[in-house]
Amino acid sequence: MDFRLSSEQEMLRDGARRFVGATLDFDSRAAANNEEQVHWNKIAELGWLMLPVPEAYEGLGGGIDDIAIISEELGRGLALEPYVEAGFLPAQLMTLAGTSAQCAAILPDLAMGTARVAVALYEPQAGFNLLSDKSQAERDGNDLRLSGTKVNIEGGTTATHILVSAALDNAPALFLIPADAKGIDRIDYDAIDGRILSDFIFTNVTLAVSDQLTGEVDASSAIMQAVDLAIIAQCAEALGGMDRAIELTAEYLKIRQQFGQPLANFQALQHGIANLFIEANDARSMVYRAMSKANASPTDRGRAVSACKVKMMEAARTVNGKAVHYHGGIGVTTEYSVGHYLRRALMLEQRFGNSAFHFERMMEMAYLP
Amino acid sequence: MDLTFKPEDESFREEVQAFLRDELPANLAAKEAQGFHLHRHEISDWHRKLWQKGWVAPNWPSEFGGTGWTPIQKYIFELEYGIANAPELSLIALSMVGPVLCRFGSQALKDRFLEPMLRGDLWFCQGFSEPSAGSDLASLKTTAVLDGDDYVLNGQKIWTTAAHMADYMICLVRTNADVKPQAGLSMILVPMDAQGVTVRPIETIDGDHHVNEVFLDNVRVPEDHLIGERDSGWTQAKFLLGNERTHNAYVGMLRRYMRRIPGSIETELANGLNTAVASELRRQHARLEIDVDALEWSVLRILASEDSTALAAAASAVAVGGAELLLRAGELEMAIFGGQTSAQFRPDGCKALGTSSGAPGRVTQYLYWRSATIFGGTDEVQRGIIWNTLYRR
Repeated sequence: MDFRLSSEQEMLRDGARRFVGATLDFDSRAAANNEEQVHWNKIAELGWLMLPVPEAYEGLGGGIDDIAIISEELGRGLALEPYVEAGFLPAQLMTLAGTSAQCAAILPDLAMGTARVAVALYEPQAGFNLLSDKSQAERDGNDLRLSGTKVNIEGGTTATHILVSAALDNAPALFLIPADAKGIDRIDYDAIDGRILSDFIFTNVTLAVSDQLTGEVDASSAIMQAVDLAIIAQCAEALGGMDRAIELTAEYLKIRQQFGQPLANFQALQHGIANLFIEANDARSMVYRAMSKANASPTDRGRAVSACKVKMMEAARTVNGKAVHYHGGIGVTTEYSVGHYLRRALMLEQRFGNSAFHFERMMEMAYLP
Repeated sequence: MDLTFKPEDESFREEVQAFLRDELPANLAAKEAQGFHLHRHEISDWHRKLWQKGWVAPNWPSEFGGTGWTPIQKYIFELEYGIANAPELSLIALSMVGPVLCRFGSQALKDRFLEPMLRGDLWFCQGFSEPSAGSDLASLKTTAVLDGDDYVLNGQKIWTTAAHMADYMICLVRTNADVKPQAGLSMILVPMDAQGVTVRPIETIDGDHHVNEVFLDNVRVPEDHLIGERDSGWTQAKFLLGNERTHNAYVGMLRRYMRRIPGSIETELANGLNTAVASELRRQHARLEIDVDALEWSVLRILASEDSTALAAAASAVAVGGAELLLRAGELEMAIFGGQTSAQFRPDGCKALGTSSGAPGRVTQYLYWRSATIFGGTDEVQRGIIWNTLYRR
């Protein structure tokens, strides 16, 4: 058991912290002109997009622990770039479900940041069911026609490609299609955490048969595995947010004076901060535990990931909520950063299945052989 | 980063499980499972077996009879030990006095006491807290005054676990009143059969007897029973109290409870437990198990850590968290057995009709663990440590 980062990982973390602090975080992006593509290009230059891509496709073949390091730094800084959702996740899905030709056609460009892939999995009126068959790909001669609706997609506004799940011949399937294909309508909306989400409506979109990912791993297994790992990465993001929120709050309590002394002199507040540390500390442990099962059986991995999500989201709400509270009035302003950690936590809860969904999934998996 | 157990640690786990399976007497395990505090006479044969195996003293340096295990191996042993319902051996002797003697004691004290402690022939109790000195331990008032070749002790200790069974008390006493409180303390070994030692039992709300008051009335203790340097007692106390870095025992106990709960729910369904209630209790168990998993991995992170500041804060976090989980587990087990927990737990059995074997002791267990938020540093002291080490400056 060794929880230490390697020296390369320490450099990755330190570099990420510097970059996020200079360019992507809450304070630096407020000052600068928030240029989304410029940021994505810089992320690509740092090699972050190469990390989840196998070496065979001009990537670095990194592991989930590397992705988690970056994600945690992004969470600390409240970065808006959808690194996990539109950087890691599509790379992971392609690697699992694509043929080597299909991977070679997109992954090098994804690693360079020139191809941007939005992942469309969830549907309206389907909860968090990843294998809903409401979106359908029907055979039409030598082609396929895709119809359906997908919701809550990250990175949709800048996507060059869409990786979309749909039922084909009554089985789950994945398709990689150009974002500008005819028959795709997109609705964009602001989420409370500052991200822009998109809903896609596919109306008889013509697909080539070769658009279907037909690699080693079947679509539903690939989706389950990739999403599980994305959840781990997002939980790492939540950790970064919690840790930073606690730091900010402790600093604030030492500076803020009322009744002739710093608020940090009051034991109730000292103990309140200690409680936040206890929550965040245990939540961090669940991420390591889930990472330890990243290569385990789907059931063992799934149970660990779902348990991690449940614990993390509760901790994030508690910690970030209290961080707002301990700031008093300024905690609920948008001008100050601390409230934004809570907003992001509420959105992270709803990405890739919320706590209630994951608790049920964990319960179901407990009874599987 | 390596988040797996080494193959040799997994083999060690299997070795421990096999030993416990083959050697732990079933009746002893059954008594322990019910949560009944076993007397030293009931444990002595088992203690001998572990001594013969060389497994009694994981916390001692190997040159003095310790096991030489890595922190992870110690953890694995304590976890499997707890799960198997193996009874706790003489905790004070093995976990506290032994390491202190190994580190600070004279050769004469080591020669005299270490071997009998390892064999299980000598039991110790811990005389630290006093009626006026609990969290503020350094303010303790029991004095030890040198008179010829003896120290003469006067004062009173309280919450002295196992004083009624102990041969010796490791006692924190005041040997110097002219300095700061912490700087005037010494550690001394007091024979419990010495003239002037009176033990008075305290019955606790769990209905069992573990703790006592110990009155010291002009008790003469040979000078060579003082451990280490005079007035160095506070350093030794910090070493002793900090030695159990992680409260490992909590995880073993928690896993014991977690593992038996699903079976208890199944049994009680056949015993008339409402199916909707059973479903709710299963969900509570699953939710609690998430928190036990988190605690376990927080402990593993402490075991692997070398950063002493982070360690102090994390150890305090685990202490607070572990106590809370023990209470939640107790609440859940009481809920499973419902009305069958009504009869107060007695060692000679339960007269109430229709009582499942898992029911007696559940209320006792819960009430016992209420002291977990108090002993070893109250929750508030632990939170203070977290604030002071991580945030104050």
